[in-house]
Amino acid sequence: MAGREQKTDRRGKRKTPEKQVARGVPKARVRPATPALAPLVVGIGASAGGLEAFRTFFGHMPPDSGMAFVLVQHLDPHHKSMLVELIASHTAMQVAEAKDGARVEPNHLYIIPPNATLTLRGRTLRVSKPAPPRESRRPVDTFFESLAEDQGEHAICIVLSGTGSDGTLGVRAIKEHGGLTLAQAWNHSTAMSGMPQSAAATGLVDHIIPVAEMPALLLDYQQHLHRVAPQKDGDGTRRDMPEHVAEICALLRVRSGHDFAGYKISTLLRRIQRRMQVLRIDTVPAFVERLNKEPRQLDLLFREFLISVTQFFRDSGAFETLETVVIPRVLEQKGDHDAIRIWVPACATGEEVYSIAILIREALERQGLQLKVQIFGTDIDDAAVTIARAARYTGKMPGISPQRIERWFIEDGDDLCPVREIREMCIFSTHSAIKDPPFSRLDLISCRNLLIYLEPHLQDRLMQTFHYALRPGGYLCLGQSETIARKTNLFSALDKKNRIFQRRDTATAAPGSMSIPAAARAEPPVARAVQRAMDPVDAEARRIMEKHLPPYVVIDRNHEILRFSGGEIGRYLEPSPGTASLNLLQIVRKSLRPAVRSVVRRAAKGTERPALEHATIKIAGKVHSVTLSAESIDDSSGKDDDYWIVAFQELPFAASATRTRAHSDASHPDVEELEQELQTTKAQLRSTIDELETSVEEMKSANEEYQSVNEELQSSNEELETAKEEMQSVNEELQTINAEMVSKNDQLTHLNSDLKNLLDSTQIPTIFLDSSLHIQRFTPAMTDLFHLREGDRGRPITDLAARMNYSELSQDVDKVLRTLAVVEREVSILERHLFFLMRIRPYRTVDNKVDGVVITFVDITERKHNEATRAQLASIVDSSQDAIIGHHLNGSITSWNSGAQRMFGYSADEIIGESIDVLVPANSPSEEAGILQRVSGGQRIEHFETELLCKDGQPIEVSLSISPIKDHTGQIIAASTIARDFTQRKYSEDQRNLLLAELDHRVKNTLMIISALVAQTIRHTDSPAAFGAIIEGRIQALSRVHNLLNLHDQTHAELRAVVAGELAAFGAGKDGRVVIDDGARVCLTAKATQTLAMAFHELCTNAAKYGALSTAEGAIQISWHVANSAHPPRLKIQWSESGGPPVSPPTRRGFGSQLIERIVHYELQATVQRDFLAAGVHCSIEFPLTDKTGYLMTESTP
Amino acid sequence: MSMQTTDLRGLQVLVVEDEMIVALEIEDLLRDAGYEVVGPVGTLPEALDLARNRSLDAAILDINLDGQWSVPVAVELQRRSIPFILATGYADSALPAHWRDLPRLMKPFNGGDLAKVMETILQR
Repeated sequence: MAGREQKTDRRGKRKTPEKQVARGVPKARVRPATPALAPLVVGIGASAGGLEAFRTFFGHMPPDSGMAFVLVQHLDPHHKSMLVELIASHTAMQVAEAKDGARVEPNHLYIIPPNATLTLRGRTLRVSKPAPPRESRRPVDTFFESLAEDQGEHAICIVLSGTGSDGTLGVRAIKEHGGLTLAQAWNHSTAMSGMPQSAAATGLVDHIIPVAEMPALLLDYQQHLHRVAPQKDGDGTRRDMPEHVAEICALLRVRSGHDFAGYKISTLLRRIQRRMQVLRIDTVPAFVERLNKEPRQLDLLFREFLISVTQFFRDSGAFETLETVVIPRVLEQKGDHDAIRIWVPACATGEEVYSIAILIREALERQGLQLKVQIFGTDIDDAAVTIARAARYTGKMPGISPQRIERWFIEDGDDLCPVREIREMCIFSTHSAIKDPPFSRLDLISCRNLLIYLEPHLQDRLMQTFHYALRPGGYLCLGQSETIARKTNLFSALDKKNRIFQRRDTATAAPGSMSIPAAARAEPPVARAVQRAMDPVDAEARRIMEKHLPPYVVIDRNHEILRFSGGEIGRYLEPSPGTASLNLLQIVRKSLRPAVRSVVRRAAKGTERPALEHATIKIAGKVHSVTLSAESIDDSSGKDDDYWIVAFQELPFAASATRTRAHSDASHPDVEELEQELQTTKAQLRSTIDELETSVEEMKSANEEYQSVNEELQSSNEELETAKEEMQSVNEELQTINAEMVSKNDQLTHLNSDLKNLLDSTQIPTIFLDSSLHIQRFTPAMTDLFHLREGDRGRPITDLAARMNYSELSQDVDKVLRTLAVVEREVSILERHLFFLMRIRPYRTVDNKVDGVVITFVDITERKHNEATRAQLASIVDSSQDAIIGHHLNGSITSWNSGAQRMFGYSADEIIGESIDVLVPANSPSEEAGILQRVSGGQRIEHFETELLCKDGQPIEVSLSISPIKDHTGQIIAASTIARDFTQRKYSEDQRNLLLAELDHRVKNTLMIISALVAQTIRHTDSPAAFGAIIEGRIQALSRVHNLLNLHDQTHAELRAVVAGELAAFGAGKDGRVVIDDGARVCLTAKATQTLAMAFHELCTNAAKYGALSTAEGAIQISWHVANSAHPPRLKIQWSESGGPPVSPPTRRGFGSQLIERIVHYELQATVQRDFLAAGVHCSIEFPLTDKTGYLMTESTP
Repeated sequence: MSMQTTDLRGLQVLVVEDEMIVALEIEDLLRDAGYEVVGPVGTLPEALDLARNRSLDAAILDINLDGQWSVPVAVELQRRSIPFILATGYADSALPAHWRDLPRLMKPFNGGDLAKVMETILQR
């Protein structure tokens, strides 16, 4: 309400018509604006999902609405915003990014730039950059607050889609300043979650509707304002309203029980008017009718009246004074067992109560005190009290430091809740400070921003109530624009600036002025107790002497009369017209005033005791002389408040001077007689008078006795009244506490049933034990598992341990209780083949004391099974020769088996987390990316052959199989790649092909040889019979060669074996006719073997036909040696036949001879010498031993 | 055909073949057909020497000379534009690609095969 004055000024300013017409908008189409009505400014706040809402909104809003729009969207501070372009395509309005200093024009749309704070001052946009850091960035709130202050009821705010709670504080501000508030609904009337819901939770949002319906509503609202504008006065309030206020208040009183008649009329008018605007009702009678028909509207109006803005530590100056001055003083006076009692009337949603609680708690901690603290927070709005009791405050809380939030609040989701020790200090109740009896014996009352809504007489009443409720010397805090008004006699200012006051101990003040009906004056009970203890004789004496005492008054420093004496004090007083007053100088007779003033002043100086002054006054035409005396009263309590007694002593001489007496002489006899008679009569009269006087005296005495009794009765009555008041206060307090307890009890019941449901629904067997291992409580799942029954509560747990193969239970529990660390064990129930993870954790009570343990059993049977399966699979994967690699779809590697390590050289530690791209050579990345794309599309890649890189940079040929890995929803979340080393396989394949080709070649070669052999043999034989024998022998010789090739992978044969083999074929060598004299072991190549074998075959054939083998006596000696001197070494073989028939050189050179001579020469570069000596054929073959032919075997070679 | 057959007589044909038995048979076949045989030779140096220096009309070339490819000889013959036949036991797939189109005689072959291929290359 501090902004009230400013608002009036602005409203005045706005009366000048707008000079500028929006550029780009055809003038004819602008709605004719009433000069008194400035265009509405609509602030729209949004975050995530805002764009869609903006589009819908402006899709339905005509471009010539006459309103101005400002969009505040949460934007990324680091990116340029496209919002202007995006929205411009959906509206014909002028759309622009907000510029600093730009004046807000109707039919224009302004958009907040990125990384900026946008505010409105004097209808002009203010842009400041950069935006505050993220944690304190609330652009929507900031703008709405400035919009509210600047535009008052011409402001409209709309909270659209978005997460978080930005906009909520702004809605409060708009509403408080009389603007219209809207929030986005996702269906008919439920606020969208996030920002709209947070705003709606304040109860201050006027309309919760879908975006598409907003423009029509705004236009309607604008039209309504236009219609009612003429009825408003310069202050913006309607002239036709006041006459109906009383009626509306009466309706409200019936509905809510609260009387707003004493509230300031201007506030009421404004709030009623706002409700009418929200409902778009043009005339007051129509509104009254609506109120009559729809009681809900009365509730809404009631809420509207109670709107107040509150926050933690609002008005930091006041709280600082509280912290540094008031609270230390309050604490100073407290003993160890005293309680601190504080009352916060009109506490709204409780922020102030918790703020004070935090201050007190901090002060107590600083001073190390342990005092009981009760802070009563009361409000007539039960909805607000409910919020205060719930003690949940959303997100950001301006005004309260992060340290305090850290220390005194706990986070619960998005909300912050005061910690338990703070919450427990505060008691909330629905209570009216005006209507209901107050609390009592309070140390502090903080009543801020309530008085401003009240008319002066209600304010006075409240001040008296507060004075009564506070203990002597107690403190009162008021709002920034409030004062103690005329009640300076009740309170003295402690800090004028921050409106902190201290109760004055004026005994008269409190009781008489109590607002409670029939409340009577009462003196402090202590003072009366002293009176009553007085001796009755003293009292009687005092009563009699009272009439001889001069009348007096007791006054204070301000001349306020605190006590009157009895008797004739009234003679000296003369009430002056106007406000009733107890100020002595105002009510004493005018003629006495100078003297009174002078005597009081002198008495105050303290030099004279008593100070005297003479004065004369005229009463009923007679002049009286009066002596005034004044003297200060020493107060035994030692307080520095001074009292003075001022007495009025009338002097007797003035009375006698006025007396006249007539004297006359008696002369007539009759007269004498008559005189005589008169004397007699007089005497009789005197005696009668005497009698009368006596009886009067007696009557008087009786009367006085009655008076005394009456006074005593009065006194006890007063005492009872006081007691009753006190009882009422105590009762009120008890009711408050009771309400709080009921609320807490409800909560506890709820919590209890929540807890019960939680325990019942949880499938996790849980058991609670006390420190001595006795069962306290368990969940139903426990019943199934361990056959526990309700009757088992209180029994020791040891029975349970026996059901598991677990004997260390008690040791483990002891360990948990000792170390407060959680113990986990895997246990099994063998008879049911179940495995559990047993977790023992300490049971902590809410105040963090350890009182037993909680044991939970998580069924891990399936997990165990899975683990075993997993271990099996893992070992299979690990033992695979293939590389098996798991990776995310983005390529980052998650698993790496030992096959992969072998293949690529990376260890799992160094590659997990890296991208699989490190394996891909630089020249083929596109291919790989394409594959991942296909796999993430669900495709399986089989045998994709590619080249990858090892850690050492070597390429490796692999065949890849890549399969997608799906989660339980079937979504592809990763991929597995199996790589098979292809280099080796390819090599063996090549090798095999080579071998096959070679084999093919050799077979064909052999066939060619045989074919040639056959052809040649045919050429050189005469008869088919001879051909058959010869060709068979030759082919067998060839095939023997293959049997002899048994060295070095069938590629070499030993010379001796070749020779012996051929001879054996002819049955030679058994009877000692054939001698093989091997001078050296020689190994022959396949070719040499074949050539020599053929040669020896022919030699043997000839020997068998014509030579040494043709007779029984013939012998053959075969010998060879290697001549090492030559290079390469030469092998010399000798074949000598002897003892055969005589030999003659052959007449014809057959193929056999050609084989012996030409072939050996041709293929082995051998020199062949064949001599047909008489003793027998002699043949020598000599050729070099090269890698083509063979080598000399040393002893060590096999 | 008969006219051409008479024309071929007396032509000088180089035989390169490391297997003597086979070489003897080829020699006999060629002689029977009327050709003059140069060689036969079974080693690369001998074959190269003849391919370079002798006056030749055609050649029969074994691809594999005891483990050595006879490529240089073929290159030499091509350089001199002397038609030649590759005699081999290798399958097509085992041969170098640029040799696959050359006239070939798959082992084992007989006299008819040889005569046909000889006529083919000499008529080009």
